Amino acid sequence: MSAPEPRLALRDVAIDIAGRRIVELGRLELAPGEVVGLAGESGSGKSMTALAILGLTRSIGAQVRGSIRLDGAELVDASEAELRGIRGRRIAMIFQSPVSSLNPVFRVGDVFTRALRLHGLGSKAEAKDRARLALQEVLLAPDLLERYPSQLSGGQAQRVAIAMALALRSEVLVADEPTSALDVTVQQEILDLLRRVRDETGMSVLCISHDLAVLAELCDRVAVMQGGRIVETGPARTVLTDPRDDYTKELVAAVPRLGGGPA
Amino acid sequence: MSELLAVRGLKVRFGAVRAVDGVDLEVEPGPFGLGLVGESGSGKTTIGRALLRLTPIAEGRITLDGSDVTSIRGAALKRYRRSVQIVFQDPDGTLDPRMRIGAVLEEGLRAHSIVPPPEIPARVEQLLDDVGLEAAHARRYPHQLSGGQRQRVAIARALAVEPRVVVLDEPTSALDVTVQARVLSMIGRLRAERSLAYVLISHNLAVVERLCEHTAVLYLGKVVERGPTRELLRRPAHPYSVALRAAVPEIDLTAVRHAVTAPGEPPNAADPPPGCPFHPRCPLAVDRCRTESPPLMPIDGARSVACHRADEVLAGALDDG
Repeated sequence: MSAPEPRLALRDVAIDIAGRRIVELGRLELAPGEVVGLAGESGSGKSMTALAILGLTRSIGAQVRGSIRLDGAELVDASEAELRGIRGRRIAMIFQSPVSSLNPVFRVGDVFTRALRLHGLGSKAEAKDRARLALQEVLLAPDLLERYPSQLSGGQAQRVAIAMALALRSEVLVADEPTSALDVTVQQEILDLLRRVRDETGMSVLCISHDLAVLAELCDRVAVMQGGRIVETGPARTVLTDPRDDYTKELVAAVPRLGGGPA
Repeated sequence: MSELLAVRGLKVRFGAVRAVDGVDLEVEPGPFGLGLVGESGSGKTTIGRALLRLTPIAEGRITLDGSDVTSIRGAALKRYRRSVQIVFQDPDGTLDPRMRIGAVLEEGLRAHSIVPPPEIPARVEQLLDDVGLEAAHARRYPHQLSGGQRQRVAIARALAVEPRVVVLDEPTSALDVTVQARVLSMIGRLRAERSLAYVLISHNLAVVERLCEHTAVLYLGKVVERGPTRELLRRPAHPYSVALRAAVPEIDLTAVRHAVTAPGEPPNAADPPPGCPFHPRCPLAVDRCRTESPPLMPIDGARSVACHRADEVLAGALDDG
C-alpha cells in the first residue's frame, strides 16, 4: 500500500525563543482522517508545536524553522494574511478551557455567523442554517445559539467549539488538552464525539494531552515528547502497551490504573 | 465510638444552593483513608472545607474523638485546626511567595509549640526529609521549586503540626503524571510510617482505590453510595457509581470500552430535580425515581446505597452487552 499524501506534514521543525531551542522535531505527519496524539509533560514542547502549526508562534516572539505543510502548501513562511485564511478555518482548534475560549459578549449564534462570514462562507441566513446543522451534529439543541458562553457548561462549550470546526469544514482539528478541564463522564462523551466526527467527516485530529489513557482511547498513533523532542512514536496501542523508550516506560507506568489495588 | 472524625447530617448552603445536603461520614484512626469522589458540584471540596471549619455549617455535627467541634471558637478552634489539617490542589495559592520554605514549616511548629525552639531547625530538616526534599530546600523560596516540590512542602507543612487527620483536596491533580506518581507513593509511605488518617478528595477513582479503604460517592451534595473501596469499585451498586467507573479512560486497550451510562451533565444545584437527583441521567429511572428521593440504605456488610433500583444494578442491569 502506498502511503496517502499526508494532510499535515512537519519536517525538521525547530522552534527558538530568545535564542533558546524549545522544540526540535524530526517528522510528524497526519493522514486524512487520522487521529494523532502528542503526549508529554509540562515543558515538553507539545503546546508550542501546536502553536507553530497554527502560525501563532510569531505573536509570542518565537522563531520557527523547518517545514510545516498543509496539503503540500508551506505554512512556515506564509504571510499573516495567508495564515488568517487557514487558522480557524482549514485548521481549527479547541482548547482546555472551552468557555473562556469563546468571546463572552457574543451569543453562540453570533460567534458562528461571524466566523462563517469572515471566511466567506455564505450569507447571514446561510450561515445560520449551517450553524444550526452543525449543532445538531454535535447533539446540541438549536436554542443554544441564543445563549451566551457563560450560560454553557464546559461540555456544551467544547461541543460548540467542535461544531464550529464542522461548520467551517476544517481539514485539521488541533485539540490542546480538550478534555482536561471536564468531568470524567463528560470527557468520555467528548471523546466519543471526536471519534464520530473523524469517522463521518474524515477530519484529521492532532490531540495534545498529558493523559495517556485519553490518548489511548482516542488516537490511531501517538508521539511522545520530552524536552522538545519526540522520543517515541508509533501506533497508539504499541507505544502505550509496549513502550520502548525509557521515558515512555516511566510515563506509562505512572498512570494510575483501576484494579491495581492498594500500593 | 471508634471513629476519629465523624460527620452527621452535614448541610452547607450557599444562598439557595444546597452544596452539601445531609452527609454522614466517618474517618477511622490511622492508617486509614476515606475517599470522596464525584464530579464538579458534587460537594466534595465543600465537605473538605467544612471539616476544617472553613465554611459556615447550616446543619449537622462534626465530632473529633466524640467531642462536638461544630461551633467551637477561639482557642478551641485553634487546637482543632492543629488536629485537622488540609492540603489544597494548588500549592501556589497557599504558599507565601516571600517566605523561605524553612520559615513556612517553622511557622506551624512555633504557633502550636510542637517542639522547643532550639529543636526547630532539626525538626524542619526531618520534615523535609519525610516528604523527600533536602535540607538545602529550607533556604529556598517557593518559586525556586517545581510544582511537585511545592506540593511536597504543602504536605510537610500540614504534617508539621502532627495532625490527627489530613484533608487532601485533589493533592496531585495539578501535577505532571510522573510527579503525581511520586507524590502518591509518598502519601502511601507517610500513611504507614505516621499512621496517618486522611480524607482524600479526588475525581480519579484509581488514585482513591490505591490509597483509601473507604469511599463515598457524592452527587449533587448527597452521598449516593459508600463502603469499602475495593467492593464499591468491583461491583458498584448505584448507577452513578457504575457510570463514573465506566467513564475512566483505560490505557490498556485490551480492556473493552464501556458504554457511557450517564449522558448529559449534573443538573443545576440551585434547582435540583425532584425525587432522586440522578434520575434525569439514569438509564434505569422509573416513575418512583422522579418523585421519591431514595434514602441511603445499608446493603451487604459495610456498604450503603441510595437507589430504588440498587438490587437490579447489583444483579447486572447495567452490564455491557
